[in-house]
Amino acid sequence: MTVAVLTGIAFVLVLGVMVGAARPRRSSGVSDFYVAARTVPPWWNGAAITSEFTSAAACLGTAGLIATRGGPMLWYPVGAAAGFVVILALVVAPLRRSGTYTLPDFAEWRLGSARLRQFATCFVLLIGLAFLVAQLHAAGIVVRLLTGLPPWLGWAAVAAVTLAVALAGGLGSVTSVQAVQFWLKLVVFLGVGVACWWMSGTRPVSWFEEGYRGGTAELAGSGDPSLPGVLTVLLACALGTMGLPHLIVRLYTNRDGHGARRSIVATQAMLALFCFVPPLYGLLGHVHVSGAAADEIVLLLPARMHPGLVGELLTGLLAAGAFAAFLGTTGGVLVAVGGAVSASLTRAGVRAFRTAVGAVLLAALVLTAVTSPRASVALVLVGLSLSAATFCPLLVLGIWWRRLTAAGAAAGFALGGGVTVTIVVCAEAGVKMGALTSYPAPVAVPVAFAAMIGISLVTPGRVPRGVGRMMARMHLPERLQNPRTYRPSLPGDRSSP
Amino acid sequence: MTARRVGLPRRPAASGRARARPGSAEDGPDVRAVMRRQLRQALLTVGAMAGLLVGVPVVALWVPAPGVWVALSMGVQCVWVGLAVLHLRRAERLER
Repeated sequence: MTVAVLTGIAFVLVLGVMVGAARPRRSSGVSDFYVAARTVPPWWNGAAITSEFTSAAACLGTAGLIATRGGPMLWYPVGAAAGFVVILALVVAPLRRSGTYTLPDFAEWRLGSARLRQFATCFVLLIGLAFLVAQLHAAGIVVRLLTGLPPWLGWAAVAAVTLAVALAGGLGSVTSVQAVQFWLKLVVFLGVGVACWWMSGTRPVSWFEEGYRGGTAELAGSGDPSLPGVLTVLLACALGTMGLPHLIVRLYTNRDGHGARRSIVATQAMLALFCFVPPLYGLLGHVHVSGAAADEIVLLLPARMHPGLVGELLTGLLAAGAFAAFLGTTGGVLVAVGGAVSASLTRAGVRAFRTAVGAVLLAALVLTAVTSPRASVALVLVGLSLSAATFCPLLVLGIWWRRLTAAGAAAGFALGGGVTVTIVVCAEAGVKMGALTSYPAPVAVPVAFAAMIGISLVTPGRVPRGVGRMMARMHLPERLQNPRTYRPSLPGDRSSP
Repeated sequence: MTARRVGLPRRPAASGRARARPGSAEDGPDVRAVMRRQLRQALLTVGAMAGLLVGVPVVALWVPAPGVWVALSMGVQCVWVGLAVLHLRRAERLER
């Protein structure tokens, strides 16, 4: 088994480096380095977005939860995909037209406050770290479970490849790596799943437990099979997706608002293709694998069903697919967070970007080393809940409501983000907070919206000047733009007016 | 400032172009109208999505067959794709 698994992992790692290096970007300017120079067609960009989004949680975690906790977990992938409907309807075209590269950039441009930008960067960093730690832990689990080697080898492999690709060419090379990895992932996971199903001969007769029931939740309400628990997770997914730093930065790889919209529609279609994976593995895992942690069930499945050479080969393929998932998400998050952090601290530049990427990755590795392996779905949900309580209100109100002020946005960030972080930290520390612990999103999201609206209404003097011009730039199609209002993003062009 | 306004009179006022002038807080009424139309469409889409997202898991309470749950969860994914395509077409038509 070890040989097959290591071959699969090595193949994906080498493929990642080769595809990343084979398309050397003309990364002459800062803008190229961040955003792939906007030469990517929508379906290619859609594959990259999907690849970043179908992380360890989608490939391994959700299927494991379906197998262990039953039917209610079937709604998790539905909620995750619903997030893109919200993005398409409310956010994507105006945000692309605003011409800002990152979420903190948007906050500063729209509300005219450099301090708000730094505050927003803190939350980008937190959300990014939650995603990175989830991927690194999952990589450790794959290596430990399938080869018996120490888990840090898995962390180091993922970290080294993503660092090399990110340093070599920024988002341009990451886009091509990810689009390739999405198709690899889809073929591997669907192929192995269907092969297992077909070769098992007998249809699985015992379905997982249906129906909602009481249960214990992990972080941020994940894995809670009661109806309120499921709805909490659906809310966090539907609203949190728009605030993920690595998804928003992808919109700039399209030429204009139309292209960005089409990329999201392509993403939606590809996610629908991928949605067969969790129920398939959940069903098979429930029948054939018992007594394993949620993230391990998918990986153990082929060997348990077909001991021998076939099982080993299928396990090697699955390990390759899983590493493609880790590399995809880690690369996207790393570039997006590194870009946001470097632009907030210093003047944007290639050297600052590289330093920031290295620092963020180091922080993620340290966090992974000092924490015990957690379920990937729980960690990803912490990031989604935090994003739903901070960037979702900022984006929705900033795009559609003229009277939002920097003070209001800061208050919403402090309250929404503060409530979420407090609940998660208390749950980690074992402090009992009753129902709050299980359902952070339904509390934090309304609180954040209320704080942003309330404080904005009492600080009308701080509505930024030129808000009408900003609204025109975000909402009018490019061909109707006043040439002086519309600034196509040029190399070195920073978003603040 | 005077020099920057030279280009403005050449644009026909009634053609629905942006009348936002740099430096002024007011924009033309058409930006508000565009925003209102787009927001109405966006809220329709988000409303339909929210209704399904909450409605389907709740309705599933009364259908305790796991096979039906699997089919429902995949069906909703297809509905998302349809909803996205519909919204794309409507939003692009509103911008014409």
